[in-house]
Amino acid sequence: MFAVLTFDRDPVQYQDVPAQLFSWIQSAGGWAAFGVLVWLLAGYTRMRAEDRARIPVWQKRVFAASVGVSLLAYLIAGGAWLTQYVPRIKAETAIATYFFSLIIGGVGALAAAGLPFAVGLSSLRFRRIWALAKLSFKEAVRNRVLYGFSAILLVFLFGSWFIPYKPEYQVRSYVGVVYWMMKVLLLVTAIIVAAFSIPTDIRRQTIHTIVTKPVERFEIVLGRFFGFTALMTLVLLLMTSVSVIYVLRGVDPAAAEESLKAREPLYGTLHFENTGNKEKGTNVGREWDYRSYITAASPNQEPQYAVWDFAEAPSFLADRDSVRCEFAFDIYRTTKGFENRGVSCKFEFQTAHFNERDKDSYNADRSRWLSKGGLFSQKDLDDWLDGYRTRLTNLSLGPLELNERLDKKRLRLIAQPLPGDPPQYRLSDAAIEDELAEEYGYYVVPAKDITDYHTLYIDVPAGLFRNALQARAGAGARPLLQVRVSVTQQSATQYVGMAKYDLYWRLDDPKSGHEKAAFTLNFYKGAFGLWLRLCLVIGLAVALSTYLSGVISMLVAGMLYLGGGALDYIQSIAQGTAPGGGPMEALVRLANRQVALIPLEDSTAATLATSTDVVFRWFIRRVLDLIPDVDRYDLTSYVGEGFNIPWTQLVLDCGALSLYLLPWFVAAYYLLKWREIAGPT
Amino acid sequence: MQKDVIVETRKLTKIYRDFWGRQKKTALRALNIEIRQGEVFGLLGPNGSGKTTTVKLLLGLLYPTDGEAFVFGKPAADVGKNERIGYLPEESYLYRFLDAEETLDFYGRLFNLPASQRRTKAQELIEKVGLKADRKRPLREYSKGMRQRIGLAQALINDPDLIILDEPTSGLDPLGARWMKDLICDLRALGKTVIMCSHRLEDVQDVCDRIAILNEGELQAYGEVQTLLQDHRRIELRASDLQLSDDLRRDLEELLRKHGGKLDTIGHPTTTLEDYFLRIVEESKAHPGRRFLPGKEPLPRTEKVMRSESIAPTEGESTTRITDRG
Ligand SMILES: Nc1ncnc2c1ncn2[C@@H]1O[C@H](COP(=O)(O)OP(=O)(O)OP(=O)(O)O)[C@@H](O)[C@H]1O
Ligand SMILES: [Mg+2]
Repeated sequence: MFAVLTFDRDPVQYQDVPAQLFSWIQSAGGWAAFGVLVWLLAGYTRMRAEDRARIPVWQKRVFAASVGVSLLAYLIAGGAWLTQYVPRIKAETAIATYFFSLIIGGVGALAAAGLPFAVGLSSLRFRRIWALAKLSFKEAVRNRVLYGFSAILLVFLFGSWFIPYKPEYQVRSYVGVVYWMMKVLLLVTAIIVAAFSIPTDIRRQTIHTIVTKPVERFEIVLGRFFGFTALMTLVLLLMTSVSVIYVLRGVDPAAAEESLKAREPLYGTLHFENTGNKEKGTNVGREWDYRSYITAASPNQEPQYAVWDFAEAPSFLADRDSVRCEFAFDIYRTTKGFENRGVSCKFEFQTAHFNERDKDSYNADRSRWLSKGGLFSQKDLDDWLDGYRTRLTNLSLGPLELNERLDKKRLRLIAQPLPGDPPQYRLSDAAIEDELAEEYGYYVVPAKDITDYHTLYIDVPAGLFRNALQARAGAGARPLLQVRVSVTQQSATQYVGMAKYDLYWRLDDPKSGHEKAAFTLNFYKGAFGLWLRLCLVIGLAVALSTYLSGVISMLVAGMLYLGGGALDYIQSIAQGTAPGGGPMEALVRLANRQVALIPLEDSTAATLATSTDVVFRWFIRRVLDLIPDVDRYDLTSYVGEGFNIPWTQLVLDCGALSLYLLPWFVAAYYLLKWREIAGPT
Repeated sequence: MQKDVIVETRKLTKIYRDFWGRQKKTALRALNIEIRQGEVFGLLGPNGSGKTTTVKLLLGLLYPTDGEAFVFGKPAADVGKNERIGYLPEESYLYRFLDAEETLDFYGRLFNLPASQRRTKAQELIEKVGLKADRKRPLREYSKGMRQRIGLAQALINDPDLIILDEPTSGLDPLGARWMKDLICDLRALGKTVIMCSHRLEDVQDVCDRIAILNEGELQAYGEVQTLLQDHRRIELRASDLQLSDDLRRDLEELLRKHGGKLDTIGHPTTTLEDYFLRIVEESKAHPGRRFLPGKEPLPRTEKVMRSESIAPTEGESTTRITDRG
């Protein structure tokens, strides 16, 4: 199976929120400041005295205060920026000042720009928005917009012809094709419907009968937005439901067994040992350095380890029989000829309580107890408990706790007595492994065959987690749990590549039998990502269309969306990290036939080009703020690879989308308010 | 501001500009008018004289280039004033995919009317504008006159105090035009204020209390219709049960000369085409199945019909026009 989830960037987390919020305030605040400036210069000066007099005094004051604060903060920021040319001032102070004054400037500008908007919001009425939303909904339905969606039938009818059959790809392909088709159909329709609605309303003058009713103009924007969103939501729900049935019934049983699931991973952090660099293993020269590689140690070297640290684990894992550790690695072969033979790796699982010196005693105990064939005499058990007592005394536990642990263990060991005299006790191999794991905080799989890019697993006795989650006496600063992977000697010369997200614990229970249900829920969660993108394009197109014509709104919204798909590349240009530099530098290179990786030689043209590019980059960065980060809403790979989409992701995506759309809606509020509805178009 | 003044414009000016802000057309120049509570006010003028522009300025659909407009004492851009306004646009621009009932329901919602009130109001208005049979048909199938009717119903959904009608009779047949004019008079009887734009002079003359005449965006005349239209130099006299004869003419001339006047014309008054048309339609309703056949007399004008028709002049009535000699 090929279920490997790779991340271009780390999954979103709650602790990233403040940083993102700050950067949002900076960029949205910058735009707000720009808007306020334009309004002050072009709008306020042209305003007639009567109209100026009509603005309530308190609003004028708050506005002026916000503008003042913002202006001051931006001046300070500018000053801080200039200090980089003054050698005596400490860089950190300057950077901190710059950062915070940009935030304060942003907050001030946002307050100024948002004040009339916020005041205007108070006169909105839900019932009118609802009426307008219903109207938009009806309009789209009665104009037969929905007929276009029947194109999805093509997938259902002929999908199986072009979707590969191989079980390892099947679910991913099905999910990919179905989501892609839904995405294209829904997004294209949504953009068109949303972009043309208000302009058509204005062109046909139907809007005249609406704005001459007691309707706030922004209610029209919201009505359109909610109406189309509701429509698309219904269509999406319907399509998703049909699709999920199609996928569930369409895939082959073998593929279903393999991939119809929604794993809930517990990720750790990865570091390497004995590779020369803690962050990285060996670079094998693969162009994409997502993974780092380790190999078996040569005779006089320390073995290389890839180590995953888990700082915490939920306690319910301790209540299971075993906890599954899943992994999928990349193999880089330096010798040919073993294509079908896997590379073998050693897996060691150890808790914070594990003592490195106990390794030998663990191994001795393990082979001794496993050799008993599952039958234990009273003496065996006493030996076992004695050994345990010895190790516990080293832990400097209180006498009460020591006895308690010993008693508990004794009860577990004698849980299955066999009739007869002398008494014997039954212990399965799994139970023995479990006891040992709990006792030592250690579990090892000495040689596990790894195949390239296949997800494999080890069911680790839950005793390990019971050990890990004990009171952390003597554990020190070590992580709760560690998974140490090394390449065994028999696979010398082979490299195994791994990345942070290649190994994880399964938080969901793979033996629960709810895998299909989990997959179905996950499929809907994936559709939620599409829903967010639908909201995004509808909001964007509606907001743009308050000022632009239908065609232009459609094109701009479409381009912003596509630009969002290429955001990473555009960002690399903006930050000057793209090889070959900005457009002017590239032009100079083109003219001189120079390779992109060699620095330009010092010529006037070159200096001019690179400094033009600095300005260019500044503009690009401002434009970048406008481009939505659409990729973050694409959750297809989660569903396709069978990984549960974390709720955190959905919640934070909602937040990110709201923050992105808010400034557009504020702009739409002003644009429509100032627009002469019956004026020249 | 006087207490019963509902609409007031002060130096209201509108210059249409193009995208680049260049002046293209001065549609309205320094208009000063006042419209009072309970009157029917006519905005008159040839095509392109700025009537619609004025109305749109009053409604906040356009923003004035200069000057101000107040409706109910609030600036025209204020949304709140719309609670008490009904507006029938020049052409009824409504949503063509809705039917009459849905249209009225939709506009009712915009006024926050509760559902039960919306329903009764819609039925009442549909009946009033005579669209009962077509209430379930989408508006795209409506004829121009039907659209005008539903447009009017839409304008009345909130029981407005001020009704602004832009060319209310355009697209209506004479029967419809008469119905519209009666309706306007009814509204006035209810104490509502009506502003109507028109270049159909007879409509304006029939219903308006006061008018303003615009030309090229400038106010040309403004005042009460009666006063504006009265020709103080002439006197009109109508008499009935008389035979038109030379004797009569001579006697009258003599009588008038005695008073220092002069007889201009004497003869039978002609009816307007509108009146004639209305009568014909009435008659055809009274005699179903009858139709015009070439070569025959047009529909006979029977005594009975003539007498029952109050608008038409009675046979034998004659008009005399007298001009003051001085
Ligand atoms: N949106 C517009 N852009 C540019 N000029 C306009 C616009 N609307 C009207 N005009 C111009 O303003 C002038 C007045 O137009 P308006 O529509 O007010 O006339 P009107 O009196 O209503 O005419 P009609 O009797 O034909 O309805 C006309 O010359 C017209 O060309
Ligand atoms: Mg007009």
